[in-house]
Amino acid sequence: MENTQVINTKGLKKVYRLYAEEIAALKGIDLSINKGEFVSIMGPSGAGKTTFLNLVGCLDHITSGDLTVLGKNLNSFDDSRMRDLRLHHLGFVFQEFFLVKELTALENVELPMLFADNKDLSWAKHLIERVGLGKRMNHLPKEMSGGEMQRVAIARALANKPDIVLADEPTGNLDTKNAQSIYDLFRELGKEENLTIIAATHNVKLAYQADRVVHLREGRIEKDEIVKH
Amino acid sequence: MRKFFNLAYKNLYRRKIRSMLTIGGVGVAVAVLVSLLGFNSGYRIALEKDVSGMGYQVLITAKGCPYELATVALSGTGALRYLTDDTIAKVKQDKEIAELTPMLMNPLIKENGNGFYTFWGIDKDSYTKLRPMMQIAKGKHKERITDPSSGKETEKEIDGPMGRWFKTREIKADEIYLKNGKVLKGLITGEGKYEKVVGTELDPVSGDFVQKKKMVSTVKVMLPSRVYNKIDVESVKTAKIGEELKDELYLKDGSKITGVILNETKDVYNVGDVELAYPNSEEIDLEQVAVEANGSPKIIKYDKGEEIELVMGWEAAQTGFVQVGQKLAINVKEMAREKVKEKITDPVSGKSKEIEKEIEKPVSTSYTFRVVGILEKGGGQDDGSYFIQIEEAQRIFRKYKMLTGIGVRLNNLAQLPLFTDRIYNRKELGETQIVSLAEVKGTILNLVQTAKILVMSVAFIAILVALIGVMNTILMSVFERTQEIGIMKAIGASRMDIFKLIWLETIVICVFGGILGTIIAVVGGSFIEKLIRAVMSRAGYVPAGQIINFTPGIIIGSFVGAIVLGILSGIWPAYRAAKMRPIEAIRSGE
Ligand SMILES: Nc1ncnc2c1ncn2[C@@H]1O[C@H](COP(=O)(O)OP(=O)(O)OP(=O)(O)O)[C@@H](O)[C@H]1O
Ligand SMILES: [Mg+2]
Repeated sequence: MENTQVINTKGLKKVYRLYAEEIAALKGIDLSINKGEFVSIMGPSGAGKTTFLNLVGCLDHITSGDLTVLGKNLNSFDDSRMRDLRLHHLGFVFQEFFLVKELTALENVELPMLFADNKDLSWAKHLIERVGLGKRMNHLPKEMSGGEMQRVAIARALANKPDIVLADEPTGNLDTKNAQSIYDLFRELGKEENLTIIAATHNVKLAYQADRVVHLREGRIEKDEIVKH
Repeated sequence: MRKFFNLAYKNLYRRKIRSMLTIGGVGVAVAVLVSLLGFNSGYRIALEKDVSGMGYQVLITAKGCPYELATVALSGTGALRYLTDDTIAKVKQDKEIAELTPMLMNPLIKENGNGFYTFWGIDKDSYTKLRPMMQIAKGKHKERITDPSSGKETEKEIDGPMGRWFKTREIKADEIYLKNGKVLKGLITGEGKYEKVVGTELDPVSGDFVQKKKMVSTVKVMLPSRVYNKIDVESVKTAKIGEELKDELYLKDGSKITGVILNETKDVYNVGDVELAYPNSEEIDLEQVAVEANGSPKIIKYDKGEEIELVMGWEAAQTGFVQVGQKLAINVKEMAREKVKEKITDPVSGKSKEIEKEIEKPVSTSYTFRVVGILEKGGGQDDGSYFIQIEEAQRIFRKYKMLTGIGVRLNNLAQLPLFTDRIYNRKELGETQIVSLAEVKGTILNLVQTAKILVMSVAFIAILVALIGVMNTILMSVFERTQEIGIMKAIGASRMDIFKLIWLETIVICVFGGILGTIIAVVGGSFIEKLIRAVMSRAGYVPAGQIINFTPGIIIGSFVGAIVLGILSGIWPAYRAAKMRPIEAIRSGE
């Protein structure tokens, strides 16, 4: 299992068209990520981190090259198959948390399960407890701190037992202490659930807590290093 | 779908004020719809009840006689036409008649000019048989009791029937005994004096022939009489002796007329006291009248000025604060004929001369009754009406032997067309008109139909506005929640999930709107009823019963309608939301 590839890209390109202008956000990415790996994506602003995560996360279509996620070549995927993959195999964590404001912590975690027609909602409760918010289960997002909200977001990402969790600057809006605890949580959960985690970050200290750090610059991989702990 | 209910509800709850307003809009639209449908069903039922409440299915009137009080009010009393009371016996011969009742309606103009007192002369027995709902009211009330010996009135509280129906009295025609032994039977309405030309004389001064005149006293009497052309008359047999002497006219067509020749001119006989005749006022020269031993003319006036018993409709009694047992004076304005002399100048001779002419002018009159009973509230015209015995009405209102209508119940209503034909073909009935109440109902329903189309278009607009309102609310919340919807799609919501979620919100709005609207309609029903009643009464006729009737069907129907409204108005916003691409939705939040 250890060396199963969950993500594989070959010459992956993404070009945004803005009126007449073409912006090449990714200019050919060759990368493969194994199951259970915790990968940090680093790079300056505009390097293409978000673009890469969106493509892997089935939120956007690639321009050219090959992208295989969990053994499926996404080149030929339509919106509805991409949605199926997102729902059942991918989890998302965003910098802005993006919780549904009118739902409680628990309900936010249950939401993906509702979309998946998952009848047994006890897993949601377990997750909330697992991220240490057992006492805040019935709180609304506005009643929680940023760190707590991001924990809820992580629990939500795990609701449908995904294989891959994609996190785009998950600690961007958090202070150092909270940021660290989020990374700790990623590491622990990654082990427990055998998750592949890909997290984009600007924070060097946090980035190197992953198993591997991929450096992007101007749409290309600049460096790909394995971290020795 | 149920899984999103919570979410939809919470979304709406968060935008409380906006949601409430939208629900209110839907509520008003639904209330309008429910009321209209309730009116539609209620009006029909009330009308049907009113028509069956009439008791009779067919009304026979003189041709051109307005059969509806509202029409009378519009056209004034002058438009009333009369049947003669011998029509009853003639109509009764028809095999299809199950029950009939003669009626004399007599609107009296109130002294202050504000509307009418509607008096009905009725034959109590046949009337109550046809209209069993005409019952004496019951309950706690105060009555006026007159002590027969002292004549003193006391008030007494009674729990029970509010009096009784009037007692039917025998009312005899007045009799005038003529010197020739003949007896005239009719209704004496007064006395008169007029100048009778007794011959011509040469005026010795002017050399002209002038008429010799003499003042003659008369008794005014209403007699059923008829004029026959002498050329139609074969022979005349004039009675000579006995008390009730009748003359006989043999007409060329073979028929025989029995009566008293009141008047004979070169061309015609005027025969009084005959069958099938229209009452005319005659002035009988007192010189023709037999004289009693004491020298006074032999005239028997059966009206002893007895109190007339009056039964009042519920509302008439309530608004007039009338108690059973009390005397009631009704002050009215009546048009009276009066002979006046007028001087005119002869255009040829240039001489002025006096002519006599009859004019009509309003005079104040008062009628006095003894209130003997108050009727149960029925909700209709009857509530404001006054009922007395028909013969009394004919007497006091000087409508001798006259009717305004005959209410008829047929053995088989399906035979109505044949019955109508038969009546129309019987020429001896004079000009009659047969009004079927089913027909009246149809006419009224048609009228209402037109009004309903108008109101329905208002309802349609209300619903359209509600639909646009709901759509706007949901669309706005969709746009506001672009990011949220994007996130939901990112974490795995399908197009269908989003569509359902948004759709559900509109449906929730409309369900609550539906509930609110139904509550408004049902709770406010009596107010709406009053409103419609006020509007409709201007147009004329409003049925007595509840004109707004909410059936479970209407309520369920409107509810379903509200949900359909939700479903329809939700489609577009839901589609817009479902179409959103998650990536753009997320980016818009950054
Ligand atoms: N929808 C889009 N249309 C046009 N250009 C885009 C779009 N999204 C991203 N880009 C461009 O693509 C390039 C890569 O953007 P991306 O968001 O992937 O960078 P990033 O590494 O995530 O940066 P940051 O650290 O600021 O988040 C940038 O030049 C950006 O302007
Ligand atoms: Mg980015």
